[in-house]
Amino acid sequence: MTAPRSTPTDPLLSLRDVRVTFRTGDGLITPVDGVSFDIARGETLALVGESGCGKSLTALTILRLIDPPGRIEPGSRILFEGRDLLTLGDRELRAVRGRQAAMIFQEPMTALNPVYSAGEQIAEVVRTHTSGTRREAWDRAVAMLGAVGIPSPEIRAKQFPHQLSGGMRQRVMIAMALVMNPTLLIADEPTTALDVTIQAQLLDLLREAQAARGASMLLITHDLGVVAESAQRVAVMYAGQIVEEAPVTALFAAPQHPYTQGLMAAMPRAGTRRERLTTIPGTVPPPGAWPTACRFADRCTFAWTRCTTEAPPLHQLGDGRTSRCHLVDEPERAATPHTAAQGAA
Amino acid sequence: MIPHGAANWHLVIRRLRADRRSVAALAVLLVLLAVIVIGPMLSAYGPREQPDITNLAHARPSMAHLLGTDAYSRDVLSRVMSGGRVSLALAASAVVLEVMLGICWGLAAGLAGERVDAAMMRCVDAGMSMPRVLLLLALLATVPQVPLWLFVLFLGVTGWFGIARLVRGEVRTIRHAEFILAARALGATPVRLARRHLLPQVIGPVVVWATLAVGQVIVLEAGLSWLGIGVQPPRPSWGNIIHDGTEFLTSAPWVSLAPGACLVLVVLAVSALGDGLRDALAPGQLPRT
Amino acid sequence: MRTLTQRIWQGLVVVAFVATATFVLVRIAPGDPFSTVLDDPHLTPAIRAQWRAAYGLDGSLGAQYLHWVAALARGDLGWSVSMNTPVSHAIAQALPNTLSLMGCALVLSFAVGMLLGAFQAARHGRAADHGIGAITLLGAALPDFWLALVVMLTGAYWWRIFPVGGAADPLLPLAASFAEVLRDRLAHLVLPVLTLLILIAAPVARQQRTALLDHLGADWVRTARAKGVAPARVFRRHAWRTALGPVITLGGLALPAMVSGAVFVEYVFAWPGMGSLAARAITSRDYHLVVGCLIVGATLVVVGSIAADLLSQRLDPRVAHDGPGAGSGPT
Repeated sequence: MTAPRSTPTDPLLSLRDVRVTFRTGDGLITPVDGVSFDIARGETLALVGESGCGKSLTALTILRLIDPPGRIEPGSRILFEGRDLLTLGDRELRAVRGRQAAMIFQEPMTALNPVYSAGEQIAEVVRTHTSGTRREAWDRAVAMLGAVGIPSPEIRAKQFPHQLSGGMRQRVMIAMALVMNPTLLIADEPTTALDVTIQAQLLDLLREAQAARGASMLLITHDLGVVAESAQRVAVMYAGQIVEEAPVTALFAAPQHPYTQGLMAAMPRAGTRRERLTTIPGTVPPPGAWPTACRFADRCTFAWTRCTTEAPPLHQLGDGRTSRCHLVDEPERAATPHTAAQGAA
Repeated sequence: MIPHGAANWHLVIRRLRADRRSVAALAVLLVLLAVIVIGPMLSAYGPREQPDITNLAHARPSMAHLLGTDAYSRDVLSRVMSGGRVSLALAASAVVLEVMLGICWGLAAGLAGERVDAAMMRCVDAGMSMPRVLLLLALLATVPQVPLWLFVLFLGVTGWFGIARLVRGEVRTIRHAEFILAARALGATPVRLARRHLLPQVIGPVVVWATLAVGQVIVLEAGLSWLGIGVQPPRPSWGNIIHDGTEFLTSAPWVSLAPGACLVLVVLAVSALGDGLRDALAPGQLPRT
Repeated sequence: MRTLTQRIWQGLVVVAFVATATFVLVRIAPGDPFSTVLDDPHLTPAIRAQWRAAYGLDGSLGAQYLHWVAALARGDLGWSVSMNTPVSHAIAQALPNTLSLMGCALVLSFAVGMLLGAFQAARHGRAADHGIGAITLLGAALPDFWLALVVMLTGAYWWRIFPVGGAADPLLPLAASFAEVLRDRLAHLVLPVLTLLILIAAPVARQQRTALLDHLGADWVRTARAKGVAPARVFRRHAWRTALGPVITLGGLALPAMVSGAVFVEYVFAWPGMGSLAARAITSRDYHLVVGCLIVGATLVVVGSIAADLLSQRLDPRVAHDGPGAGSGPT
């Protein structure tokens, strides 16, 4: 049976029940535990969460960049352009990487090879996927550098990563990702390591590039401001699971999951007078120490007995919204929040 | 590539116990140590006894003499055991001296201002540039018959440069760490700083270095004794026993081979242990989420 | 930027330190150079005093130091009593032999060591890795003089393939052809080079393996894989190539140890180089010869490490930017 060909209305990328395990000295941990989402063509989905929630790993899983002792569990499916990436052979996978789907990493200083020039590294992508001359690949690399807004690209192309500023290095990374016109961009916290002003420029750059090519983007971030700027839909991750998904405006207007509500409340906002920043009490549990049942229960202001005994399923709320919370079933409980001192029963 | 950062010793020991290679190395070392320390007390012959110089010289290994005899009919096994005491004690003392010198110099340079530090490190560079054997040859040439303590001194004084650089590097790295700044803000003197905050951070790599250094010094001492300028006969050391047997390598190989094998065994074990310690101090990579 | 001139200056400073240290050593030595040579009862104290004055040994410490430095600058390293010739002359004759031996040994050892280490890293965790690892552990632990003895025993006595020692066959007829001379030289070279090869290639292999395994986990390697680059190319260009700089730098740092090792190897094989010169000098208590060898040896090491530094700068642009040691790890 041939793999189903994707049609223009099918999602470009579709993750189904993706599970990643790691064998550590203390046992088996599952930092990515049953993650599913879709990304439509031309759409930007933001994957939000604090550090330790598994969002970066999820991004790496898509292109199968997980190394032992990590393992993508059977039963996971990653459909890209109608093909399950997890079943592809090495050759076919490499044909996808960098050409149809490309990644942009967080730390440009270490993500770029220090002994090769910027131009060479971009040209490498071209030469990997096309059969042209070195000259042609180089010219394309220089052109791409110009396209991402680097002045004097012919000179910059010959420079090494340590000779470039942080913002420029990230532009080089973006150029590397865009040069083969991929349909999917996976950006793992692309601006986290940079100044806020550079951040804005780079996000604009990404948006324009995406729009020009009709590409989709998976944007990993912990910064809700970035989400508001750049994404159409958002998925919130906590402790290896997606806890809420919604279109951006709907999420900001009315977050359903207590964790999302907490994140929103914790964002410092200009124009409000407050003495203390609201925080979510407690800390994110590490992958080996996840609570049974609802993983957010011990930090949740609404939690009750059901939350510590029964794991909430991901409820579909219509209009493309989901929430992994028992409050969907028992909304009246939202009227009786308790303080952090009381905690869940 | 020696890791830095204060070690959690419980964790280190646990990891070390789990590493089969390190456990084997430690076992070998302990057995050897036991033989060397207890052996001479149980042996039927003393290391300098010459029972029968005419008939028993260069006797092959037999039940009476497990490792044969040498040119003077001395029992090779008891010589090797006594020589082991000398060689190991020498190496240990020299390394202790190296470590003390190196830590002092490294700490001082690490905490000092730019120019003093640069000057101190130039000295270290110079020291490291001199081939150690040549330097030792020069030092040993100044004294006709080198007493043991002076030999240890020479060995120690020529080997502290590496550890000084290591310690200085560590100190400079963590000097600007926040807990150090906090301690200084609370009024800690440099000595207190060094003792309570810097030393614990540095101890890990120092232990690894010292373990490996013991192996190096044993070989060095053996080589120099083999040349005839280290431990003087009739006091045995593995090096000079090998020297005794070198002339007769083809006719009575056991005289040289036995101490040679012991030498190789000790250095192997010490190297493996040092490697294991280094691995135990550096935690494995955990996945980034 | 560490330029060539900067490095040369630093090297000169180091050599100056070494010279000063050896000057101090000379002062420590009991007696002076003339107590052994001129132990002739016919020589009156007046004559001794004259000799001393001529050699500047009667001035103040400062004056003596300057005298010493001036002599060094001229290349005058004193007189060798055991060889009855100026020290510089003895060393000048021996040095080319040491250089040829060490040159061959270094090139071969690094080549073999790096290949082995890379092979191990590529087969990480498998039987080949463990097997070679055990061999390199052994090789790195072997005492140099002992290994030289064993190699000589094996290669020259038991199997009688190679000559026992020396650099050339003294009995080779003068009319021997170039090919025969070459063959003879090479035959003499084999055993000492083999010994040095085992001694040097083992730690090089271990360092290469460690450096490569470190670099295989580097972020840029992951980026390369994400770009769809083939595994072999990722290994070569992104792991091995970036680990090259640190390995060369470490190699430069190990030069003193290699020269030290060469002393014993030369001595065992009677290779007429500087190392065996020093070893023989000490058995005859020829103090100035030993000190001369030390100074020349240290200078060699300084020159060698400058060369290694330059090489690693070319290989790793980071080194040029931050200085050696900065480029030793991925993060």
